[in-house]
Amino acid sequence: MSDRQQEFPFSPELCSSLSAFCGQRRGIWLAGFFVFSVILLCAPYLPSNGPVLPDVVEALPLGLVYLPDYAVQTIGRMLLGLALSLVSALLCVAFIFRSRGAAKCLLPLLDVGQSFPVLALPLLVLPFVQRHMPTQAVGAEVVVIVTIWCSQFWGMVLVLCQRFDGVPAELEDVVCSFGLTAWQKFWQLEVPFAIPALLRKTMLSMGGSWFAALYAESMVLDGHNWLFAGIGSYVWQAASERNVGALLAALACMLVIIVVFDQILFRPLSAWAVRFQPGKVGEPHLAEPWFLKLLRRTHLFRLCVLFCVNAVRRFSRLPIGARYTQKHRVEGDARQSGWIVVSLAVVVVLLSGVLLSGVLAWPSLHATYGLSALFTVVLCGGMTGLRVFVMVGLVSLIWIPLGVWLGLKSSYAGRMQRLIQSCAVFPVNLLFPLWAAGLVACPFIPAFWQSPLIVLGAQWYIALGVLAGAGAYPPDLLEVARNLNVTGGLWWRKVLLPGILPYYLAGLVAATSSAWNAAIAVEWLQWGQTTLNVRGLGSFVAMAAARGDVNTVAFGAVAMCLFMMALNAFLWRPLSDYVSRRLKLN
Amino acid sequence: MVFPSQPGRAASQQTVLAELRNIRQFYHKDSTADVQVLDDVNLTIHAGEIVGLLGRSGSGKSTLLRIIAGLLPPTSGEVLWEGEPLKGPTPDVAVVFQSFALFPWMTIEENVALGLDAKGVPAAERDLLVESAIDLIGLGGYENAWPKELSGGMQQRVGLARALVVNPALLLMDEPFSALDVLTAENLRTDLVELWSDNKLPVQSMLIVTHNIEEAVLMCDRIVILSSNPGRIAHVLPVLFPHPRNREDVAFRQLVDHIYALMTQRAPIISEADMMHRSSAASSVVPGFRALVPVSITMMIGMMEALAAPPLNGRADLPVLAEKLQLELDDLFPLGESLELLALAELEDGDILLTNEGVHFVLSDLDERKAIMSHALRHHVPLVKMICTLLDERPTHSVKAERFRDELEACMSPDYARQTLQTIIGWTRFAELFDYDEESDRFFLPDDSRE
Repeated sequence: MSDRQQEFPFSPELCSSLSAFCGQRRGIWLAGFFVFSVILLCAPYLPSNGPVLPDVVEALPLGLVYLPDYAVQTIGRMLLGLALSLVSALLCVAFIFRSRGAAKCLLPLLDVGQSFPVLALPLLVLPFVQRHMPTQAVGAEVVVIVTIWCSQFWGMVLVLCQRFDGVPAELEDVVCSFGLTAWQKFWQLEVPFAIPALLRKTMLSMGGSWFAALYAESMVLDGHNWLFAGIGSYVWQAASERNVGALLAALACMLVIIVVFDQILFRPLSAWAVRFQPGKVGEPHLAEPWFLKLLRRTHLFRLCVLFCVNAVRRFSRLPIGARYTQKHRVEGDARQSGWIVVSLAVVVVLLSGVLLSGVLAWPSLHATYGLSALFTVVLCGGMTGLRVFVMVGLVSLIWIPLGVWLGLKSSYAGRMQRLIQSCAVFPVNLLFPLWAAGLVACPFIPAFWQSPLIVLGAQWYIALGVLAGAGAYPPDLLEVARNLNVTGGLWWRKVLLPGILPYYLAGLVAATSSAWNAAIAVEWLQWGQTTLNVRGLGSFVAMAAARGDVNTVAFGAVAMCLFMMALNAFLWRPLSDYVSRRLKLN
Repeated sequence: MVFPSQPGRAASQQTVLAELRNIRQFYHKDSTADVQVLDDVNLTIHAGEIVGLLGRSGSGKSTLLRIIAGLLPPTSGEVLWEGEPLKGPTPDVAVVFQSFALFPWMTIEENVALGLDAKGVPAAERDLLVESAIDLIGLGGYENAWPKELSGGMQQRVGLARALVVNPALLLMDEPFSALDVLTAENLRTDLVELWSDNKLPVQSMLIVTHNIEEAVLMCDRIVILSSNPGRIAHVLPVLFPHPRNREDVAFRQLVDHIYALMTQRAPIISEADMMHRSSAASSVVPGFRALVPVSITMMIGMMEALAAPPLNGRADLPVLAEKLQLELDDLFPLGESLELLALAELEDGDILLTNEGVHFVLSDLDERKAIMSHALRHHVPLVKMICTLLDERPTHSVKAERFRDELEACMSPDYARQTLQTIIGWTRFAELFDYDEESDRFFLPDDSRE
């Protein structure tokens, strides 16, 4: 048995969520229009500021004793959020693949959801929750969990769709010819087939999820009536009290949490998921993580695991749903035309509803979303965009040579990849208050030094991409280049860069969207009573949230989402099409 | 527990299991005309026989198998299973797939048990049945292995066990041995035939889809030969040799040669009455371009050179040539047909012979070869002629490839259209007739050939 660890490669097609499933892309803008109008129209009806009850608010205690308790609460929320997004993603994908109508409605929505800035979500949901349950902390829990859900759900559904769509035709034939029911097919064929990709996607999005969870926890605490505990709230409280020691403690605590998640959850899961990948004869065995070994070898645990496995097996064999028959298909065709009529009618009704309410609410809309506001948003968006691209470009300049050097040295590559993967999971917003403290302490540093924070978390995606690309580069081609004495600029231009470009591009797409999303947290920092901000769409949203101006938050969030969608449609998709056509090494 | 052997297989020779009546199958397309895959197929499968469906790629033999399995409803025509119309997959028919189609996340045992689980067979009975199927097919000891730990031959045994365990009356096999290496395939074939002759298989009848003539003659009691584009039943041959059969037997060789000859026959001339009949059924089938199988220019040249060289001296028996060049039937036929299309060789009674043009080609140097090829393409491939004319007419000397793809798709499936265009591009690039730019999807004349 070799000690090769199971690690998930950063494969280009998985990261770029752009590789379209089916090509049902017609409805994105329509779906976007809907979602945005609903958000914008609803926002004015939300209260601007919740009723702050004067004397209930007390500061979150910062004693180190409380930290484990906070950590446990945060972990609980994360697990709940993950479970929720898994279940809802499975439900959603079942709908998409069982009914044409649902697919037509849900697929465009997915694209919009994917581009929506997760960090804006707590800012939007909070006022609503606050109005309906001003003093119960349950509301705050809901906000945090919804944010975590949102950070995972869209990606999960997308991966599931891609995998369900790619189920091998022969396996489907086997399932049909043995007369498995729809339920049995779902659990015995489609879900197992999707497990490895789903797990990979979840692991890669964990960084974003922790970031979002901590941000939501801190926002929830900001000037509200409940006492809410969690690592994010702890950090927020520490920052507002300028307590560097507490910040460092939170940092250490978060590291422990990440290691625990990795060891207890993701390591064993990814070793177990190998079973679901079709492999070749004679592949080397993988080292078994200690926790999985514990589960598999200890008598007591083994019994529990066996019991669970049997229960799941029974569950997956329940004869629910219809079997495949030919008659069914004909009926389905007939029903499909009915579906088209119904969905068209629904679209028309919704559109006219939106337009009507738009006309009715025009005066108030005009006041909040006027031309000047529009101009500000576009300007801010441009500035944030510029910031994101410049920073991502600078980071690429560092990581491309470094990643190539490490990736080609196969002895380091594996270890480096694991290290970078763990770095990518770490929520960098824990470092933001420290950075802010530094900036406050040295007043002569110009404000743009706040910008590097935007790629602090995003850079790992680029690093992972380049590293994976260099690792996957065919050694034969490298030897050819060495044999022909190709060196220097020519080597980079003709030999290496075209080969790693698909991977780099995948990393770039992930990094840009993550940086874009992080802008809300980065462009508006607080240290004690001092506020640091740089102009941009992120600070536009964050400032509005601090003012309690939900309209502007909604406006900014919609603008961020639109920017992202445009970037996907007009830059990333054509580019990745081109790259996959021309430069993919098999 | 042992499988109940099927009651009196030999006695029930005349029991009809499956019956296909006037099966037509069209490939469904959104935009233009439908493409016909199968045309008027009538076939009866009796109990107690092994039927071989022999045909080239594009003859729709796998489609036919899927129709019998109930996985695909025919566009028109009737499928009867034991006298009743077939409405979907029945538990009496089991399928073995070319690619094994095992679930990588199930152990061998679980894979074999899948069909029983779907039926809801109680656990104890299921385990017994699985056990006996695994033993029967020679997989004992592998129960807890994962599919990826097994070799291809063992994986296909699992596929067989999985199909047999549900106790089907008819076993359908879709090129079951073609993904295996020669030795493994032979071993599995012999085992299967032995089990069949010893009456140990729990099936009444088997249908094997194959493109391997020897395999069909080795295993089957009746061989059904399908012609291509669209698939029709061209011939039905009974094979009367007793099992086990000997490949070196003179009669065996003669039958193989005979089938080669049958399969290289030109398509029969269709009578006018037939035409009338056909046009009513498929008025949309336009006589136009032929689908071309991807045949590389180097393969064609290699084949012609091998043919021209002694001891063949320009003429060869196809089975002999196949063995000499180590080619499968599915590689050899397209090669021969492409050469025939370009009038560089002729197929005749299971033989292939070089034409004068072909001999000339072999004797020429590269530039002359290009000229000969260019001439042949312009004269014998209508599509090439059309593209060349258009390119000459256009002042830009370039033309979009899409319009030709559309024209091809009017008489074949998009896959075949793409393939045909790709093949043509490969040939014309060799002949330096015109070139193709993938980025803009256009044909164009290279600078030096413009006048």
